[in-house]
Amino acid sequence: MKINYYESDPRVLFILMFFASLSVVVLKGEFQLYFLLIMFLVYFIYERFNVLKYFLIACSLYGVSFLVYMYLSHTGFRFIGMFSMIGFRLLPVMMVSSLLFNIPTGSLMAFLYRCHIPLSVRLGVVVALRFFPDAKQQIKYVRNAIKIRHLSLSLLHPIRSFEYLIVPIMHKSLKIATEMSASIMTKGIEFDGIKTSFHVFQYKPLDYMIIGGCLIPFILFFIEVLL
Amino acid sequence: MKNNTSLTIKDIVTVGIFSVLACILFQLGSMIIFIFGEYAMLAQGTFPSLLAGVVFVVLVKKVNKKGVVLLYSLVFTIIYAIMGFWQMAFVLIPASLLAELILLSEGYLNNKRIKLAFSVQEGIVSMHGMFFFWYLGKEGLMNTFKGMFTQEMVDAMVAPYSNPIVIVSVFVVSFIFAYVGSSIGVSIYNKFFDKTPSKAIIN
Repeated sequence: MKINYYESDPRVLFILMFFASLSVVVLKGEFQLYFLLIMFLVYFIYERFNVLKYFLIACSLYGVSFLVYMYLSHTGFRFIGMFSMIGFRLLPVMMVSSLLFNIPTGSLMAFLYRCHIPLSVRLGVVVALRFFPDAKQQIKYVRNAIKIRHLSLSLLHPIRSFEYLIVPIMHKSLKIATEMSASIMTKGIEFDGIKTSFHVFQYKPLDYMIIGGCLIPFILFFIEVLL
Repeated sequence: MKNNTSLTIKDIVTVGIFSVLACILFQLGSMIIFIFGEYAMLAQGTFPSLLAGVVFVVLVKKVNKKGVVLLYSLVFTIIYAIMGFWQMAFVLIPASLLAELILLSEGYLNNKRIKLAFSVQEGIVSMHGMFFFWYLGKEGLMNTFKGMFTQEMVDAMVAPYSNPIVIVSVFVVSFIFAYVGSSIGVSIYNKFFDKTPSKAIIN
């Protein structure tokens, strides 16, 4: 079971995502690095020592691009270096993305309701996010079923292999859709009146500090550009 | 058969679930295109469209209502936004609106229209990789990846993305792959999902 060490307002994570996306195109040089360091700190607040995984990824990506830059001049290697550098720059985005995927569905639903997102989009997104881990499990089940029946997935018969894998998953998905929609309807999703939520959205002092901290590299960058 | 009713809860849930399946197949296809190396950006719409075409066809034919493609793209856009690629909205939403226009008025069960809609949509979406080069330009690439590329390398890299023949070729290749993918989807739908009897029951 996943433990949430700090549960903030979902709005904070969406603001962080905006800053992280902006940092990829706006920030340059050392300011990009400052932003990444602040993101490590923010991630530590939410997920504690899971941040080490991203720290190792950052070191590996930077190491690869540095090696390519220093020792490998072939265009193909340069492309690997470029992709590593893009990955390094996108790391804050990936970190916030993993935090966003961990928002409880009820909280996300209430947040999207407050943002006046139409029901169809709101429900579609929440169902999609809820189904991601299930889909991986479904694929695993189907692969096991294929093995039990002594069938094989082979690149020599791509269409047949694709049929073996995707058709049962789609059939199962249609069944899940029927069950899930019945479950959602019993909870009164179609009610037109104003809905209240168990989840209360309120900024905490630490939320302000997180947003403020993420603004620092941008402020420093703009000061340097202006001077 | 004309179907003007709006999307029900079950339809919306189906769209959400099938978006996830399409997303997984897109990721799988994107992994395959890395074999193209430095030309991977040009092959963005090949294997992902080929694989996701099946899911698209089954979704459109099962739901068979106006707005299904737009909702599918909106869910995709928000998933991309959560992953940090909110810029995809500028490509996905216009492409899906065009696909909806193609499918409008009885096209949701018409195989030819579904194939055309998916192919056009994927043709447009496949060009998103080039926007990176168009947005940054030569100077932007040199500044962003300082010291990694020489001016000649950047010139050689950007040249294909500013060549109209290459741009049209990317669209056409993606269109063909998406068309083949959706054709496989139609045959799979007819074989495994179509419940209408091929012959009259009372003869």
